[in-house]
Amino acid sequence: MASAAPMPPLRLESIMRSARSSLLALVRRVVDHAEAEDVVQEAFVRLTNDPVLARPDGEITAWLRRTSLNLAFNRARDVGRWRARTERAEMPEPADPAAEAIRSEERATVRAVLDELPEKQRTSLLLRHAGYSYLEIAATLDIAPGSVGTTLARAERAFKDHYLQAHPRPDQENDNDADDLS
Amino acid sequence: MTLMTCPDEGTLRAFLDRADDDHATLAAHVRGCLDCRRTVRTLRLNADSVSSALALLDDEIAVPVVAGVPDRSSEAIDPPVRKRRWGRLATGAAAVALTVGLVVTPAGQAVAGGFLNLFHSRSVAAVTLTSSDASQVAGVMSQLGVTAGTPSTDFATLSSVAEAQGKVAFQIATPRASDLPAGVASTPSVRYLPKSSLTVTFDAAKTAAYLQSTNSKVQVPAGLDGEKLVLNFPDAVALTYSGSGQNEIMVVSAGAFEASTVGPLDVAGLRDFLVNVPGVPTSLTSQLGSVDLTSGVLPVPIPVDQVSGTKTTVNGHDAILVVSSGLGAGVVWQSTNRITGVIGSYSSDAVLKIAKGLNG
Repeated sequence: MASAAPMPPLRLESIMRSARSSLLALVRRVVDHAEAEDVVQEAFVRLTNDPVLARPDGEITAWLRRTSLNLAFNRARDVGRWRARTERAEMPEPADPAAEAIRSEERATVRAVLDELPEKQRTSLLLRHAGYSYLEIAATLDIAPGSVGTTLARAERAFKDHYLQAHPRPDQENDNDADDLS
Repeated sequence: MTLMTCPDEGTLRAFLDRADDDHATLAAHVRGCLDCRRTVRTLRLNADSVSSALALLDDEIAVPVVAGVPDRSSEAIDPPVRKRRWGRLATGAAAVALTVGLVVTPAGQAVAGGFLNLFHSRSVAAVTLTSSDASQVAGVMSQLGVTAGTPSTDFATLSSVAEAQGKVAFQIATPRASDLPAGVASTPSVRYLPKSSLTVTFDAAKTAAYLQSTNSKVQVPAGLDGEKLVLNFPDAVALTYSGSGQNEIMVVSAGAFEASTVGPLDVAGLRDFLVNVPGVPTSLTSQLGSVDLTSGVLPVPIPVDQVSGTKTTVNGHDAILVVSSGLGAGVVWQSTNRITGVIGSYSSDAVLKIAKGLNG
Protein backbone atom coordinates (compact mmCIF):
# COMPACT_ATOMS: atom_id res chain seq x y z
CA MET A 1 0.00 0.00 0.00
CA ALA A 2 1.34 3.39 -0.91
CA SER A 3 2.13 5.60 2.02
CA ALA A 4 0.20 8.80 2.49
CA ALA A 5 1.58 11.95 0.98
CA PRO A 6 3.24 14.15 3.59
CA MET A 7 0.81 16.53 5.18
CA PRO A 8 1.74 20.21 5.33
CA PRO A 9 2.99 20.78 8.89
CA LEU A 10 0.77 23.78 9.43
CA ARG A 11 -2.36 21.84 8.54
CA LEU A 12 -1.40 19.01 10.88
CA GLU A 13 -0.68 21.47 13.66
CA SER A 14 -3.98 23.21 13.07
CA ILE A 15 -5.88 19.93 13.32
CA MET A 16 -4.11 18.99 16.52
CA ARG A 17 -4.70 22.38 18.09
CA SER A 18 -8.37 22.45 17.33
CA ALA A 19 -8.93 18.85 18.42
CA ARG A 20 -6.85 18.82 21.57
CA SER A 21 -9.30 20.32 24.05
CA SER A 22 -12.23 18.18 23.04
CA LEU A 23 -10.07 15.05 23.00
CA LEU A 24 -8.83 15.78 26.50
CA ALA A 25 -12.37 16.33 27.76
CA LEU A 26 -13.39 13.03 26.20
CA VAL A 27 -10.62 10.80 27.52
CA ARG A 28 -10.69 12.33 30.99
CA ARG A 29 -13.79 10.24 31.55
CA VAL A 30 -11.63 7.16 31.21
CA VAL A 31 -8.27 8.17 32.65
CA ASP A 32 -6.96 10.90 34.91
CA HIS A 33 -5.77 14.31 33.76
CA ALA A 34 -2.10 13.42 33.44
CA GLU A 35 -2.84 10.19 31.62
CA ALA A 36 -5.28 11.99 29.38
CA GLU A 37 -2.48 14.30 28.26
CA ASP A 38 -0.31 11.26 27.54
CA VAL A 39 -3.09 9.50 25.66
CA VAL A 40 -3.85 12.46 23.42
CA GLN A 41 -0.17 13.01 22.78
CA GLU A 42 0.23 9.36 21.82
CA ALA A 43 -2.73 9.63 19.46
CA PHE A 44 -1.10 12.65 17.82
CA VAL A 45 2.16 10.73 17.40
CA ARG A 46 0.34 7.81 15.82
CA LEU A 47 -1.50 10.19 13.55
CA THR A 48 1.71 11.45 12.00
CA ASN A 49 2.33 7.98 10.54
CA ASP A 50 -1.20 7.00 9.68
CA PRO A 51 -2.69 6.87 6.17
CA VAL A 52 -5.74 8.72 7.49
CA LEU A 53 -3.66 11.86 7.05
CA ALA A 54 -4.58 11.76 3.39
CA ARG A 55 -8.24 12.09 4.30
CA PRO A 56 -10.27 15.28 4.93
CA ASP A 57 -9.91 17.04 8.29
CA GLY A 58 -13.21 15.73 9.61
CA GLU A 59 -12.13 12.14 9.10
CA ILE A 60 -8.82 12.81 10.77
CA THR A 61 -10.56 14.28 13.80
CA ALA A 62 -12.88 11.29 13.94
CA TRP A 63 -9.86 8.99 13.78
CA LEU A 64 -8.28 10.91 16.65
CA ARG A 65 -11.41 10.48 18.79
CA ARG A 66 -11.58 6.77 18.19
CA THR A 67 -7.86 6.22 18.67
CA SER A 68 -7.70 8.34 21.82
CA LEU A 69 -10.60 6.51 23.44
CA ASN A 70 -9.11 3.12 22.60
CA LEU A 71 -5.75 4.16 23.97
CA ALA A 72 -7.44 5.44 27.12
CA PHE A 73 -9.25 2.17 27.72
CA ASN A 74 -6.04 0.24 27.12
CA ARG A 75 -4.38 2.27 29.81
CA ALA A 76 -7.28 1.98 32.18
CA ARG A 77 -7.05 -1.79 32.03
CA ASP A 78 -3.70 -1.65 33.70
CA VAL A 79 -4.53 -2.03 37.36
CA GLY A 80 -1.19 -0.65 38.39
CA ARG A 81 -1.92 2.50 36.53
CA TRP A 82 -5.25 2.78 38.26
CA ARG A 83 -3.50 2.74 41.60
CA ALA A 84 -0.87 5.17 40.47
CA ARG A 85 -3.57 7.40 39.15
CA THR A 86 -5.16 7.95 42.50
CA GLU A 87 -1.77 8.78 43.93
CA ARG A 88 -0.92 11.17 41.14
CA ALA A 89 -4.19 12.97 40.94
CA GLU A 90 -3.93 16.51 42.19
CA MET A 91 -7.30 16.55 43.81
CA PRO A 92 -8.28 18.56 46.86
CA GLU A 93 -9.08 16.63 50.00
CA PRO A 94 -12.74 15.65 49.68
CA ALA A 95 -15.12 17.17 52.18
CA ASP A 96 -16.52 13.73 52.92
CA PRO A 97 -13.87 11.03 52.37
CA ALA A 98 -16.31 8.16 52.96
CA ALA A 99 -18.79 9.45 50.40
CA GLU A 100 -15.97 10.13 47.97
CA ALA A 101 -14.72 6.57 48.42
CA ILE A 102 -18.15 5.24 47.48
CA ARG A 103 -18.35 7.49 44.45
CA SER A 104 -14.88 6.46 43.42
CA GLU A 105 -15.98 2.83 43.54
CA GLU A 106 -19.06 3.66 41.51
CA ARG A 107 -16.97 5.38 38.88
CA ALA A 108 -14.72 2.35 38.66
CA THR A 109 -17.83 0.21 38.12
CA VAL A 110 -19.03 2.47 35.33
CA ARG A 111 -15.68 2.26 33.60
CA ALA A 112 -15.55 -1.49 34.02
CA VAL A 113 -19.01 -1.84 32.50
CA LEU A 114 -18.02 0.37 29.58
CA ASP A 115 -14.95 -1.74 29.07
CA GLU A 116 -17.09 -4.88 28.81
CA LEU A 117 -19.00 -3.46 25.86
CA PRO A 118 -17.88 -3.80 22.24
CA GLU A 119 -15.75 -0.87 21.13
CA LYS A 120 -18.42 0.73 18.98
CA GLN A 121 -20.99 0.57 21.73
CA ARG A 122 -18.85 2.08 24.45
CA THR A 123 -17.51 4.75 22.11
CA SER A 124 -21.00 5.69 21.00
CA LEU A 125 -22.12 6.07 24.62
CA LEU A 126 -19.21 8.25 25.61
CA LEU A 127 -19.53 10.43 22.53
CA ARG A 128 -23.28 10.86 22.91
CA HIS A 129 -22.95 11.65 26.58
CA ALA A 130 -20.26 14.21 25.76
CA GLY A 131 -22.67 15.96 23.44
CA TYR A 132 -21.42 14.85 20.04
CA SER A 133 -23.92 14.83 17.18
CA TYR A 134 -25.09 11.74 15.38
CA LEU A 135 -23.02 12.76 12.36
CA GLU A 136 -19.90 13.05 14.48
CA ILE A 137 -20.59 9.72 16.14
CA ALA A 138 -21.11 8.11 12.73
CA ALA A 139 -17.84 9.55 11.45
CA THR A 140 -15.96 8.36 14.52
CA LEU A 141 -17.35 4.84 14.34
CA ASP A 142 -17.16 4.75 10.55
CA ILE A 143 -20.81 3.77 10.26
CA ALA A 144 -23.74 5.26 8.39
CA PRO A 145 -25.44 8.14 10.23
CA GLY A 146 -28.68 6.18 10.02
CA SER A 147 -27.14 3.40 12.08
CA VAL A 148 -26.24 5.56 15.05
CA GLY A 149 -29.66 5.26 16.65
CA THR A 150 -29.50 1.47 16.50
CA THR A 151 -25.97 1.43 17.87
CA LEU A 152 -26.95 3.72 20.73
CA ALA A 153 -30.10 1.80 21.55
CA ARG A 154 -28.18 -1.47 21.74
CA ALA A 155 -25.35 0.10 23.66
CA GLU A 156 -27.66 1.67 26.24
CA ARG A 157 -29.53 -1.57 26.75
CA ALA A 158 -26.28 -3.54 27.09
CA PHE A 159 -24.81 -0.96 29.45
CA LYS A 160 -27.88 -0.97 31.63
CA ASP A 161 -27.95 -4.77 31.78
CA HIS A 162 -24.27 -5.03 32.63
CA TYR A 163 -24.46 -2.18 35.10
CA LEU A 164 -27.39 -3.66 36.97
CA GLN A 165 -25.54 -6.96 37.21
CA ALA A 166 -22.46 -5.27 38.58
CA HIS A 167 -24.27 -2.72 40.64
CA PRO A 168 -27.76 -3.93 41.58
CA ARG A 169 -29.99 -1.30 43.08
CA PRO A 170 -33.33 -2.09 44.66
CA ASP A 171 -34.91 1.07 43.30
CA GLN A 172 -34.22 -0.03 39.74
CA GLU A 173 -36.13 -3.28 39.96
CA ASN A 174 -39.23 -1.61 38.64
CA ASP A 175 -37.46 -0.30 35.56
CA ASN A 176 -38.08 -3.54 33.74
CA ASP A 177 -41.78 -2.89 34.00
CA ALA A 178 -41.53 0.76 33.27
CA ASP A 179 -42.52 0.43 29.65
CA ASP A 180 -46.02 -0.45 30.73
CA LEU A 181 -48.17 2.59 30.32
CA SER A 182 -49.78 3.65 33.47
CA MET B 1 -47.26 12.07 5.39
CA THR B 2 -48.02 9.14 7.66
CA LEU B 3 -46.05 6.01 8.41
CA MET B 4 -47.67 2.77 7.37
CA THR B 5 -45.36 0.62 9.44
CA CYS B 6 -43.70 1.13 12.77
CA PRO B 7 -40.19 2.62 12.62
CA ASP B 8 -37.37 0.44 13.88
CA GLU B 9 -35.76 0.84 17.28
CA GLY B 10 -32.81 2.83 15.94
CA THR B 11 -35.10 5.34 14.29
CA LEU B 12 -37.03 5.77 17.52
CA ARG B 13 -33.79 6.23 19.41
CA ALA B 14 -32.80 8.99 17.00
CA PHE B 15 -36.31 10.41 17.42
CA LEU B 16 -35.62 10.75 21.16
CA ASP B 17 -32.57 12.87 20.40
CA ARG B 18 -34.36 14.74 17.63
CA ALA B 19 -31.72 13.39 15.27
CA ASP B 20 -34.34 11.85 12.99
CA ASP B 21 -35.06 12.97 9.46
CA ASP B 22 -38.76 13.76 9.86
CA HIS B 23 -39.61 14.43 13.47
CA ALA B 24 -43.16 15.63 12.89
CA THR B 25 -44.15 12.47 11.00
CA LEU B 26 -42.54 10.23 13.57
CA ALA B 27 -44.15 12.16 16.42
CA ALA B 28 -47.55 11.76 14.81
CA HIS B 29 -47.02 8.05 14.45
CA VAL B 30 -45.75 7.60 18.00
CA ARG B 31 -48.74 9.48 19.38
CA GLY B 32 -51.07 7.01 17.76
CA CYS B 33 -49.12 3.81 18.28
CA LEU B 34 -49.11 2.08 21.63
CA ASP B 35 -46.22 -0.23 20.70
CA CYS B 36 -44.00 2.63 19.62
CA ARG B 37 -44.86 4.64 22.71
CA ARG B 38 -43.77 1.71 24.81
CA THR B 39 -40.55 1.36 22.84
CA VAL B 40 -39.82 5.07 23.15
CA ARG B 41 -40.46 4.92 26.86
CA THR B 42 -38.08 1.99 27.30
CA LEU B 43 -35.43 3.67 25.16
CA ARG B 44 -35.78 6.83 27.21
CA LEU B 45 -35.40 4.93 30.47
CA ASN B 46 -32.30 3.18 29.18
CA ALA B 47 -30.84 6.44 27.92
CA ASP B 48 -31.54 8.16 31.23
CA SER B 49 -29.98 5.29 33.17
CA VAL B 50 -26.82 5.42 31.09
CA SER B 51 -26.71 9.20 31.33
CA SER B 52 -26.95 9.04 35.12
CA ALA B 53 -24.19 6.44 35.31
CA LEU B 54 -21.87 8.28 32.94
CA ALA B 55 -22.50 11.46 34.89
CA LEU B 56 -20.42 9.87 37.62
CA LEU B 57 -17.45 10.19 35.30
CA ASP B 58 -18.28 13.85 34.74
CA ASP B 59 -18.24 14.17 38.49
CA GLU B 60 -14.65 13.03 38.55
CA ILE B 61 -13.73 15.56 35.93
CA ALA B 62 -15.43 18.18 38.06
CA VAL B 63 -13.40 17.17 41.11
CA PRO B 64 -15.36 17.20 44.36
CA VAL B 65 -18.47 19.16 45.06
CA VAL B 66 -19.67 21.13 42.07
CA ALA B 67 -18.59 24.24 40.49
CA GLY B 68 -17.69 26.95 38.20
CA VAL B 69 -17.98 28.66 34.97
CA PRO B 70 -17.20 26.89 31.71
CA ASP B 71 -13.59 25.92 31.68
CA ARG B 72 -12.28 27.94 28.81
CA SER B 73 -8.83 27.72 30.27
CA SER B 74 -8.20 24.56 28.31
CA GLU B 75 -8.74 26.61 25.22
CA ALA B 76 -6.24 29.22 26.28
CA ILE B 77 -3.60 27.28 24.43
CA ASP B 78 -5.52 27.66 21.25
CA PRO B 79 -4.89 31.17 19.89
CA PRO B 80 -7.27 31.03 16.92
CA VAL B 81 -10.31 30.62 19.12
CA ARG B 82 -9.21 31.85 22.47
CA LYS B 83 -10.33 35.43 22.34
CA ARG B 84 -13.67 34.59 20.87
CA ARG B 85 -14.46 31.96 23.46
CA TRP B 86 -13.17 33.95 26.35
CA GLY B 87 -15.24 36.77 25.00
CA ARG B 88 -18.32 34.67 25.49
CA LEU B 89 -17.24 33.86 28.97
CA ALA B 90 -16.91 37.53 29.67
CA THR B 91 -20.64 37.86 30.07
CA GLY B 92 -19.83 36.40 33.45
CA ALA B 93 -22.42 34.10 34.84
CA ALA B 94 -24.98 35.53 32.47
CA ALA B 95 -23.79 33.70 29.41
CA VAL B 96 -23.85 30.35 31.06
CA ALA B 97 -27.07 31.18 32.88
CA LEU B 98 -28.87 30.87 29.59
CA THR B 99 -29.34 27.15 29.79
CA VAL B 100 -30.74 27.06 33.26
CA GLY B 101 -32.59 30.26 32.63
CA LEU B 102 -34.51 28.38 30.00
CA VAL B 103 -35.78 25.83 32.44
CA VAL B 104 -36.23 27.94 35.50
CA THR B 105 -38.46 30.83 36.13
CA PRO B 106 -36.95 32.19 39.31
CA ALA B 107 -39.31 33.16 42.03
CA GLY B 108 -39.59 36.85 42.67
CA GLN B 109 -41.88 39.63 43.62
CA ALA B 110 -45.22 39.85 41.95
CA VAL B 111 -46.03 43.34 40.84
CA ALA B 112 -48.55 44.93 38.55
CA GLY B 113 -51.32 42.71 39.72
CA GLY B 114 -49.31 39.56 39.39
CA PHE B 115 -48.55 40.03 35.73
CA LEU B 116 -44.87 40.69 36.14
CA ASN B 117 -42.56 38.59 38.25
CA LEU B 118 -39.02 39.77 38.55
CA PHE B 119 -35.92 37.95 39.63
CA HIS B 120 -32.71 39.78 40.39
CA SER B 121 -29.59 37.75 40.99
CA ARG B 122 -27.61 38.41 44.13
CA SER B 123 -25.30 35.43 44.41
CA VAL B 124 -24.23 32.44 42.39
CA ALA B 125 -24.55 28.72 42.94
CA ALA B 126 -23.43 25.99 40.61
CA VAL B 127 -25.53 23.26 39.14
CA THR B 128 -23.83 20.65 37.02
CA LEU B 129 -24.94 19.30 33.72
CA THR B 130 -23.31 17.74 30.71
CA SER B 131 -23.18 19.14 27.20
CA SER B 132 -25.61 16.41 26.32
CA ASP B 133 -27.98 17.60 29.05
CA ALA B 134 -27.71 21.16 27.80
CA SER B 135 -28.61 20.24 24.25
CA GLN B 136 -31.43 18.10 25.64
CA VAL B 137 -32.82 21.07 27.56
CA ALA B 138 -32.56 23.32 24.51
CA GLY B 139 -34.36 20.67 22.47
CA VAL B 140 -37.17 20.42 25.01
CA MET B 141 -37.63 24.17 25.22
CA SER B 142 -38.01 24.40 21.46
CA GLN B 143 -41.01 22.10 21.87
CA LEU B 144 -42.78 24.40 24.30
CA GLY B 145 -42.78 27.72 22.52
CA VAL B 146 -40.77 30.15 20.48
CA THR B 147 -37.78 32.25 21.41
CA ALA B 148 -36.86 35.72 20.28
CA GLY B 149 -33.58 37.56 20.62
CA THR B 150 -30.13 36.20 21.34
CA PRO B 151 -27.63 37.03 24.05
CA SER B 152 -24.97 39.28 22.57
CA THR B 153 -21.48 37.82 22.38
CA ASP B 154 -19.67 40.43 20.33
CA PHE B 155 -17.46 42.72 22.33
CA ALA B 156 -16.54 46.23 21.21
CA THR B 157 -13.00 47.37 21.82
CA LEU B 158 -12.69 50.55 23.87
CA SER B 159 -9.71 52.77 24.46
CA SER B 160 -9.65 52.79 28.24
CA VAL B 161 -11.21 51.59 31.46
CA ALA B 162 -12.54 55.12 31.97
CA GLU B 163 -14.40 54.98 28.68
CA ALA B 164 -15.90 51.63 29.67
CA GLN B 165 -16.85 52.96 33.08
CA GLY B 166 -18.92 55.62 31.37
CA LYS B 167 -21.06 52.96 29.78
CA VAL B 168 -21.94 50.75 32.74
CA ALA B 169 -23.75 51.27 36.02
CA PHE B 170 -21.53 49.00 38.09
CA GLN B 171 -17.99 49.70 39.28
CA ILE B 172 -15.47 47.98 36.99
CA ALA B 173 -13.10 45.75 38.92
CA THR B 174 -9.39 46.28 38.25
CA PRO B 175 -6.47 44.25 39.58
CA ARG B 176 -3.66 45.65 41.67
CA ALA B 177 -0.49 45.75 39.56
CA SER B 178 1.39 44.07 42.39
CA ASP B 179 -0.94 41.06 42.21
CA LEU B 180 -0.33 40.38 38.53
CA PRO B 181 2.11 37.55 37.75
CA ALA B 182 5.61 38.53 36.64
CA GLY B 183 5.77 39.52 33.02
CA VAL B 184 2.13 40.49 32.72
CA ALA B 185 1.47 43.94 31.28
CA SER B 186 -0.19 46.35 33.69
CA THR B 187 -2.26 48.06 30.99
CA PRO B 188 -5.19 46.01 29.75
CA SER B 189 -7.02 45.84 26.49
CA VAL B 190 -10.60 46.89 27.20
CA ARG B 191 -13.70 45.39 25.66
CA TYR B 192 -17.36 46.10 26.28
CA LEU B 193 -20.41 43.90 25.79
CA PRO B 194 -23.83 45.61 25.70
CA LYS B 195 -26.93 44.32 27.44
CA SER B 196 -29.10 41.82 25.64
CA SER B 197 -32.17 39.73 26.26
CA LEU B 198 -33.94 36.56 25.25
CA THR B 199 -37.68 36.02 25.40
CA VAL B 200 -39.43 32.68 25.43
CA THR B 201 -43.13 32.75 24.60
CA PHE B 202 -44.91 29.56 25.55
CA ASP B 203 -47.38 27.90 23.23
CA ALA B 204 -49.94 25.70 24.99
CA ALA B 205 -50.91 23.69 21.91
CA LYS B 206 -47.32 23.00 21.00
CA THR B 207 -46.57 22.03 24.58
CA ALA B 208 -49.56 19.71 24.72
CA ALA B 209 -48.46 18.01 21.51
CA TYR B 210 -45.00 17.49 22.90
CA LEU B 211 -46.30 16.07 26.18
CA GLN B 212 -48.59 13.74 24.28
CA SER B 213 -45.78 12.58 21.99
CA THR B 214 -43.71 11.69 25.03
CA ASN B 215 -46.61 9.98 26.74
CA SER B 216 -46.23 12.30 29.67
CA LYS B 217 -48.83 12.67 32.38
CA VAL B 218 -47.69 16.21 33.12
CA GLN B 219 -50.56 18.64 32.53
CA VAL B 220 -50.23 21.91 30.65
CA PRO B 221 -50.81 24.59 33.30
CA ALA B 222 -53.75 26.87 32.72
CA GLY B 223 -52.55 30.22 31.42
CA LEU B 224 -49.37 28.90 29.83
CA ASP B 225 -50.37 29.99 26.36
CA GLY B 226 -48.70 33.30 25.63
CA GLU B 227 -46.83 33.38 28.93
CA LYS B 228 -43.46 35.06 28.42
CA LEU B 229 -40.18 34.40 30.11
CA VAL B 230 -37.77 37.28 29.61
CA LEU B 231 -34.10 36.75 30.36
CA ASN B 232 -32.04 39.91 30.64
CA PHE B 233 -28.32 39.45 30.24
CA PRO B 234 -26.18 42.20 31.73
CA ASP B 235 -23.61 44.38 30.06
CA ALA B 236 -20.02 43.45 30.79
CA VAL B 237 -16.50 44.78 30.59
CA ALA B 238 -13.52 42.52 30.00
CA LEU B 239 -10.01 43.67 30.83
CA THR B 240 -7.30 41.50 29.31
CA TYR B 241 -3.75 41.65 30.58
CA SER B 242 -1.20 39.98 28.32
CA GLY B 243 1.71 38.01 29.68
CA SER B 244 4.55 36.15 28.05
CA GLY B 245 3.77 33.77 25.23
CA GLN B 246 0.10 33.01 25.06
CA ASN B 247 -0.54 33.71 28.73
CA GLU B 248 -3.29 36.11 29.72
CA ILE B 249 -5.26 37.30 32.69
CA MET B 250 -8.81 38.46 32.12
CA VAL B 251 -10.88 40.36 34.67
CA VAL B 252 -14.55 40.53 33.84
CA SER B 253 -17.17 42.72 35.47
CA ALA B 254 -20.84 42.32 34.59
CA GLY B 255 -24.14 43.61 35.90
CA ALA B 256 -26.68 41.36 37.55
CA PHE B 257 -28.72 38.83 35.66
CA GLU B 258 -32.47 39.43 35.65
CA ALA B 259 -35.38 37.30 34.60
CA SER B 260 -39.03 38.20 34.53
CA THR B 261 -42.23 36.53 33.54
CA VAL B 262 -45.12 38.28 31.88
CA GLY B 263 -48.49 36.60 31.99
CA PRO B 264 -51.10 35.23 34.32
CA LEU B 265 -49.20 32.17 35.38
CA ASP B 266 -47.95 31.76 38.90
CA VAL B 267 -44.17 31.80 38.87
CA ALA B 268 -43.67 28.87 41.19
CA GLY B 269 -46.17 26.82 39.22
CA LEU B 270 -44.40 27.59 35.97
CA ARG B 271 -41.08 26.52 37.38
CA ASP B 272 -42.50 23.32 38.79
CA PHE B 273 -44.08 22.58 35.45
CA LEU B 274 -40.89 23.22 33.47
CA VAL B 275 -38.69 21.02 35.57
CA ASN B 276 -41.18 18.17 35.25
CA VAL B 277 -41.40 18.30 31.48
CA PRO B 278 -40.05 15.07 29.96
CA GLY B 279 -36.57 15.43 28.58
CA VAL B 280 -35.27 17.75 31.27
CA PRO B 281 -32.51 15.65 32.88
CA THR B 282 -33.44 14.43 36.34
CA SER B 283 -29.95 15.19 37.58
CA LEU B 284 -30.60 18.84 36.77
CA THR B 285 -34.05 19.05 38.30
CA SER B 286 -32.89 17.47 41.53
CA GLN B 287 -30.10 20.01 41.83
CA LEU B 288 -32.43 22.89 41.10
CA GLY B 289 -34.69 21.66 43.85
CA SER B 290 -31.98 22.44 46.37
CA VAL B 291 -31.37 25.99 45.12
CA ASP B 292 -33.27 28.67 47.03
CA LEU B 293 -34.32 30.87 44.14
CA THR B 294 -36.39 33.14 46.33
CA SER B 295 -33.22 34.53 47.89
CA GLY B 296 -31.84 35.64 44.54
CA VAL B 297 -29.44 32.77 44.03
CA LEU B 298 -28.59 32.46 40.36
CA PRO B 299 -28.06 28.84 39.32
CA VAL B 300 -25.04 28.75 37.04
CA PRO B 301 -25.09 25.69 34.82
CA ILE B 302 -21.76 23.92 34.64
CA PRO B 303 -20.98 21.73 31.63
CA VAL B 304 -19.07 19.21 33.67
CA ASP B 305 -17.70 17.45 30.63
CA GLN B 306 -15.61 20.53 29.95
CA VAL B 307 -14.96 21.88 33.37
CA SER B 308 -13.55 21.11 36.78
CA GLY B 309 -13.83 23.12 39.91
CA THR B 310 -14.73 23.65 43.53
CA LYS B 311 -16.62 26.03 45.72
CA THR B 312 -14.62 28.74 47.39
CA THR B 313 -15.05 32.25 48.75
CA VAL B 314 -13.68 35.59 47.60
CA ASN B 315 -13.74 38.32 50.22
CA GLY B 316 -16.74 36.76 51.88
CA HIS B 317 -18.72 36.01 48.73
CA ASP B 318 -19.55 32.48 47.65
CA ALA B 319 -17.54 31.80 44.54
CA ILE B 320 -16.96 29.07 42.02
CA LEU B 321 -13.37 28.15 41.23
CA VAL B 322 -12.49 26.34 38.04
CA VAL B 323 -9.12 24.70 37.61
CA SER B 324 -7.79 22.90 34.60
CA SER B 325 -4.67 20.92 35.33
CA GLY B 326 -1.66 22.72 33.94
CA LEU B 327 -3.70 25.00 31.74
CA GLY B 328 -5.29 27.69 33.85
CA ALA B 329 -7.91 28.69 36.37
CA GLY B 330 -10.90 30.94 36.78
CA VAL B 331 -13.13 32.15 39.59
CA VAL B 332 -16.52 33.84 39.49
CA TRP B 333 -18.73 35.35 42.18
CA GLN B 334 -21.44 37.91 42.67
CA SER B 335 -21.33 40.84 45.02
CA THR B 336 -23.72 43.77 45.19
CA ASN B 337 -24.96 44.44 41.67
CA ARG B 338 -21.91 42.95 40.01
CA ILE B 339 -20.83 39.57 38.75
CA THR B 340 -17.05 39.35 38.72
CA GLY B 341 -14.77 36.82 37.10
CA VAL B 342 -11.02 36.41 36.96
CA ILE B 343 -9.71 33.93 34.44
CA GLY B 344 -6.13 33.25 33.46
CA SER B 345 -3.65 30.79 32.09
CA TYR B 346 -2.00 30.70 35.49
CA SER B 347 -2.36 28.71 38.69
CA SER B 348 -5.45 28.91 40.85
CA ASP B 349 -3.35 30.60 43.55
CA ALA B 350 -2.34 33.35 41.15
CA VAL B 351 -5.90 33.84 39.97
CA LEU B 352 -7.33 33.91 43.50
CA LYS B 353 -4.70 36.38 44.61
CA ILE B 354 -5.80 38.76 41.87
CA ALA B 355 -9.47 38.15 42.65
CA LYS B 356 -9.10 38.92 46.33
CA GLY B 357 -7.12 42.08 45.67
CA LEU B 358 -9.36 43.66 43.06
CA ASN B 359 -10.09 47.35 43.28
CA GLY B 360 -13.64 48.51 42.89
